[in-house]
Amino acid sequence: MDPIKIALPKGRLLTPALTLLSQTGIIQVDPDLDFERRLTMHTTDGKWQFLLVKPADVPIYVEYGAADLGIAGKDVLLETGRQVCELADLGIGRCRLIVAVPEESRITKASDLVSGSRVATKFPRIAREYFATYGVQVDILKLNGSIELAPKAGLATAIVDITETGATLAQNQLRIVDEIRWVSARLICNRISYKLHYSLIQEILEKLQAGEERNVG
Amino acid sequence: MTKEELLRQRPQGTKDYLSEEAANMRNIEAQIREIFRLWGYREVITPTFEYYEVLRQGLGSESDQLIFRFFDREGHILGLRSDATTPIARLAATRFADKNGVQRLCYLTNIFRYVEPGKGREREFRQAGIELIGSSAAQADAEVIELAAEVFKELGITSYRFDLGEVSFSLGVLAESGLSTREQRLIRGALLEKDFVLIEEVLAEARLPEQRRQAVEALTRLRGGLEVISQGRTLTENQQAHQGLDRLEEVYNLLPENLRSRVHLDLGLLKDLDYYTGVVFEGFVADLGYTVCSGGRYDRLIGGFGVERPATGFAIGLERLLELVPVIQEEEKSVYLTAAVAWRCQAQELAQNLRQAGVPTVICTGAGEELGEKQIFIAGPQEYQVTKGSLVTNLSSVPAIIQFFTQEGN
Repeated sequence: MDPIKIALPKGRLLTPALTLLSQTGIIQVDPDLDFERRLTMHTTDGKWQFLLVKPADVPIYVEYGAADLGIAGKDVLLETGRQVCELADLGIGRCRLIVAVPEESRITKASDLVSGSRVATKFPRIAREYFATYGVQVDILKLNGSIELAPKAGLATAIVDITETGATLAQNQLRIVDEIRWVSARLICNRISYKLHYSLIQEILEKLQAGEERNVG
Repeated sequence: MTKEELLRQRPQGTKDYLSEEAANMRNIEAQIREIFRLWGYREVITPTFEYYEVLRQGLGSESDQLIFRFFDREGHILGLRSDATTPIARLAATRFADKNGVQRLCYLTNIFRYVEPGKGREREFRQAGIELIGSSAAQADAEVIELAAEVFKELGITSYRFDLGEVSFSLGVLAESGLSTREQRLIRGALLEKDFVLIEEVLAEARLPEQRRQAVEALTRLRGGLEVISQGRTLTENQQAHQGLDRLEEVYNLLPENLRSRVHLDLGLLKDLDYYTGVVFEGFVADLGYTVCSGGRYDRLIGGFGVERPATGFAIGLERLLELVPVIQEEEKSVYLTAAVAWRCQAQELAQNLRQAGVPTVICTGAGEELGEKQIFIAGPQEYQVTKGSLVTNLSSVPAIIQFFTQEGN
């Protein structure tokens, strides 16, 4: 049988994600697995193949069936709007999607932003939806990094970003005015793979849940 | 975009078919039309646009933004056909209102939806499908699934499978769950999207009695063979849900053995259109990351147009099918006929004879046409130089030419 392909996000989620997967006992992750240079890797038993991709690209791999399963942050899922099954909250990579402004700003809530204000973010779709629900017309500026710099540089009045502890925001003299939602990493699945590998996926879900209860208890 | 930029582009989510692709599409359509005909389904053609109110009956208030809308000069809102079944429901309620029997109708048509284009999602796409109107029997439910399977089989697709469910089960379980209307809607959406995390979140917040929480949660897991029906029965006392399970079991047992082995029961199966009321199903294929065909019972849709009729049917996505069916049709090569102007009459007559014999024939206009591999040059009366690939010969009669181009190996 062809190996089942799992798209994994490069970066900080990779190690905790692999740990969770191997804890299920179903996916035998070789502890010496070396992702330094390679973008794909098979487990020793040949049953699983890992694809290493940019976090924001995981959903598209899964939607198109290039990967059967994937691990992606809820922020990425909301932003990309890809049609995939969201099977489980893995509880890792927990952080908040927030709206922040410079400390000295008089803005205290989203609706304080005047029409035409500029908002810098890596998540234009989430930001647009958020401000639309408040009926605030803002210009969304899509940036690819260093979002915290935008207000300081006079590029934007506010930012929409994710934060784990709030430390980076504080370092950049930014103040949170609203929390859009909590996000965390999700196990996602291609819609047809879900049907084709149903029993195996159920087994993984049960093991993940059992692991979670063990960790809580 | 500037005018110049627009001039060379198609709107998002649309597609051009070049001749080979078009031939393949038409070929699949012809095969499907023939299968429908053999099963006694008669084709109907409804307008490309309808009154928006008609289309809305089908799409429901939550997805009516998917309709491409515009106005007529009296100010009525019109919409491009956003699904095939709703216009046929209108047609059934108005044109067959006095007929109480069973109608078997089919269609091959294009559909327009304002979606974000993505994998397997275009703004204009083609569907073939059937509607079995006037029968509430389980046999009717079984017939449409069998016919969907027949389409796969006849097109040479071997790895097809079906998920079979009954929407009254999930809806019954949700109705008696004690969840608010909003929460029920969230869960319905989440079952559709298979967003199990959202279901967990809604349930965690709702604090239902344990048994009811388990029943809702189980909707994500009741997938398999007949055993899931008995599991489903133990989970709820809701009458609607139980009736749904009875019907699902009945339909499943009516299916022939070789089809049953391709069917998974899925008690959490819901559809993206609100009008489904009973047994529903989805057909999919291993190599393709999305559903190829989809259908089920919709007993209340026609009633929305004033005449109550039970009905069931399915639609199959033709672009999706096209990805699965091996390319059969090679572009047919035409015969290119060249002649001096003086011989144009002879050329026309010869071309007409060839066309009648089924050979596509072009009379060259003389303006730098590429002649291709099949050619005729008229040198004079009864003097024809004919070419087929590397084969070149002189012939002197029309029947000989026809034979030359219609015999084996062309």
